[in-house]
Amino acid sequence: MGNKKRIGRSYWSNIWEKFKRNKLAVFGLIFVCILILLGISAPWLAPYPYDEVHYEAVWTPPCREFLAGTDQLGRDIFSRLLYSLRNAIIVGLGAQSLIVVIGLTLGLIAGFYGGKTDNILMRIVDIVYSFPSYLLNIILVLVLGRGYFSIFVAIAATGWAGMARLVRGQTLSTKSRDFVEAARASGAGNNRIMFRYILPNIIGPVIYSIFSGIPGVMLVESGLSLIGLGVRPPMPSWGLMISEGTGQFLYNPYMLLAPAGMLVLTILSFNFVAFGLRDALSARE
Amino acid sequence: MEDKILISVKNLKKYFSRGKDIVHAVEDVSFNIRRGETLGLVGESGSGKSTVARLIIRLIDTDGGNIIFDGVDITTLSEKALKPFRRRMQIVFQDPASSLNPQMTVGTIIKEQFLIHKLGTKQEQEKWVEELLEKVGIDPSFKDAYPHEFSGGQQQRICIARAIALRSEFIICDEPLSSLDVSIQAQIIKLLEDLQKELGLTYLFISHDLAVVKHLSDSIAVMYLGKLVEFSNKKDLFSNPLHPYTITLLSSVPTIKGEEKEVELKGEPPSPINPPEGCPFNPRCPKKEDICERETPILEEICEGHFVACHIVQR
Amino acid sequence: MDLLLSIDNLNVHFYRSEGVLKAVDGISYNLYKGEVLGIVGESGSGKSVSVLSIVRLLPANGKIVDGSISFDGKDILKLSMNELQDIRGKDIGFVFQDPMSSLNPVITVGQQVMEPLLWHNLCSREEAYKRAKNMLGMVGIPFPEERMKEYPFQFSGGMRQRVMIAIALICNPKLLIADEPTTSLDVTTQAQIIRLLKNMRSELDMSVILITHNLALTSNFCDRLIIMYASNMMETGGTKDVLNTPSHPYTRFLLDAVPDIEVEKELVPIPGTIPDLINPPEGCKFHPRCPMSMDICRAEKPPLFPVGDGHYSACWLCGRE
Repeated sequence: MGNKKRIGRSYWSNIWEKFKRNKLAVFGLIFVCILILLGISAPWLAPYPYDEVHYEAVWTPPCREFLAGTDQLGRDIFSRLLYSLRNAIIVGLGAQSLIVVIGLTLGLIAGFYGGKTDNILMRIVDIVYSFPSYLLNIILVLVLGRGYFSIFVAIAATGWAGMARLVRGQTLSTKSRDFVEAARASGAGNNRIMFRYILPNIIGPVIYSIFSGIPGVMLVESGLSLIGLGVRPPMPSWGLMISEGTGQFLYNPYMLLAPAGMLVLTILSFNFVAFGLRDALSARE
Repeated sequence: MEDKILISVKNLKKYFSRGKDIVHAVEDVSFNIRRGETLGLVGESGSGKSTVARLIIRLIDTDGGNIIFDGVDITTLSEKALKPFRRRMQIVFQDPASSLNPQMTVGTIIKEQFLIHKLGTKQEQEKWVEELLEKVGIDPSFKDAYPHEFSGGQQQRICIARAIALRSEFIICDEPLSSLDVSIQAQIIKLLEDLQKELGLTYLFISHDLAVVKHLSDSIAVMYLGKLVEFSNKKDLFSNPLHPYTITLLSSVPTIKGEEKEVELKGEPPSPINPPEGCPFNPRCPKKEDICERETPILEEICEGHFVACHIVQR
Repeated sequence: MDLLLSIDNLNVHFYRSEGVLKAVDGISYNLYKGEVLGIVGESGSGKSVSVLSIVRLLPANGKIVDGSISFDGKDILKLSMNELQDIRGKDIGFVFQDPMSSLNPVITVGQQVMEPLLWHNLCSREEAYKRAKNMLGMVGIPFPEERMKEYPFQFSGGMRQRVMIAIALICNPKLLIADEPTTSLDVTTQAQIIRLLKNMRSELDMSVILITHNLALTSNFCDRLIIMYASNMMETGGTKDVLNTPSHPYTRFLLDAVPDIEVEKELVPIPGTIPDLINPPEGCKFHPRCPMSMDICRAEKPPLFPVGDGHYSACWLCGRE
């Protein structure tokens, strides 16, 4: 009985199989994991502290001593890159987590209960969505002062709206599916339905949204530090390094190329994973 | 006599609003289902039969009328008060693939019934799950498999296992065979029949396939545009259909013998938005007279146990 | 009778990630001018694929790997894309199952009925307009002049299917292929559509291939039947012969397993399930479910044995007689 391939091959292992077939996505995932490891271990891996100056070796091109060269103060670019990576990952994951927590909760409530609750929440989402987010980010950072916390809050303050909308839409479409009706006909309560029936079935698009959102968050952070509102120097950030590097391009092009290159590589890897996820989630055979 | 009736539906009404249009999905429907019997509910698209199913099982709320289950009016009970009744009635849907939570194993799906109603210890629940799977013809060792790993027919068996898990008395089958292959349909029909005999189940069997309905039902109710137009036991309905719509419907069903016997039916199936005045069937009825456009006919008993809502027949 | 279509040893494969799915496994049949052929089978039988192959309308991962198809004297497998498109819509018309997704929602119905004429350069725009209006009237759409300007969403399901039929027939094709044309329609509408197809067939004197899973539907309309199961032909013959004196066990079981509104009978379910066509069973594809299977059934695929006048059955039991 049964024409099955393997018992217990869940929905997720199917997705994983499809994901594995996409070579670009797998490469992206490996790279992302490497980046996260590098970022976390920056304090131990970095050959120099990020703020150590070497006045005798300013604007050095890459060599054995300074793998990516030095900037105008003789600071090791490679070490600063590692710390920026760490920075970017902390901000990327941290702000996204906040976005997910707020957006998922509100979206789930709005979609599940509908009616007035849904209306009110969605109007709030519309308002937040239509804010020029960059402007709001700047204002919030100025108000809250610089530092990690304010960046998280600034980014999450506008970012949650997109997530809420996505989750609400997913909740609405899942809510009307037969297996949810069957659970209701059996007497399942609201909590059970929300957490055991709806939530597991909307996680896919949410994860995709997280992965494709992280690059965006990193870019926002870079944008803020580009104009000097990111983390406090001398703590490095790609945006800051790019800003400095642009001015000093003629003296040492690696000051610009290195952080720009890293930024692009990181964003690309996250995007490859996101694309792979999207294809795996939607692929029908 | 009265205590043999398990489900009693009285003057059920349901309207949906689509913008400024009002969809008259169910319009003043009443019938009874006796314990242990199968009522076949037939009708085409727009007839409201699926809506009636959802009203009875209280997945949606009525806009009028009463639902009486074993003598208790459950129409407006709160979810909390309704819960013990939910144990006693279950539903099997048309598309088995979408009726099963893709994130849960098949065993978990059935176990949910026990968890929701807090029945049994962990071991007992496991045992019951295995017994239920066995009863519907699924190898119990597959209880850790996921729904998508089964074929359509197997998935529908799992849905049936879930429906009988709580020893419910009343099961609504809403087009349970429509998504299945023809050779599998007979398996499921047989399963439903066997279970009914063994467990003394009462069925409301909804289908557009008249041949299947004829095979399974004891009584038949015919719906058109939200109204009940004819109600009778199986034998009388098929040998002596009275309502013009029923006559047309029965003559349209293709048979293996294949004799041409269609009654000419004018026009198109109607939309439940803005139903016509008077009898809902009048725009297409070959026997229509003036009164049919003015007055809505009421369901009346014409001969023993055979009810029709038609002015012409009632004369 | 004149031969219109000849299919010989057709084999169609689909290339999936899990392996090669052998959707059609060596089927052969002829269709004559003016004939109505019914192809009956369940899902996975290969009925739709075998017919779509006639105009090479297969999805990207499908391939005709063997066999020959000859339509109106032309070798289909050797035609260029231009020559093939000349046949599609003009010599062969199609009606599919779901009219809503088969019609373009953003183009008027009139325009869609006119298009086959214009694409094949058969007449001027004004002439096409006249013919389209005429055809819509013939398929039973009231007030065709006004309705031509409307869009598909403004039509009911039955009406849309009539529009599909109008589009299929506007170029006066030699062959009409109807793939489950009434499956998504109500019973009363289904009866109307089948009656329409019958009338149009005699009006235009064309051949029809009707693909369906509903045996009873063929009884009144088809001259001949082919019963397909899991990529093979199981039985073929005149409709009355196959339905009244079925020879193949699968056909017999199919007739016994489906309730009929006129005949009270005990339903006998067919045990088991439809086989996996990526790893199909050896020999006769029905043998795992057949209570009469013998050793040879498990080993060798049976050919079509004659069991009557024009009546054939692919069963080793019939080979013995």
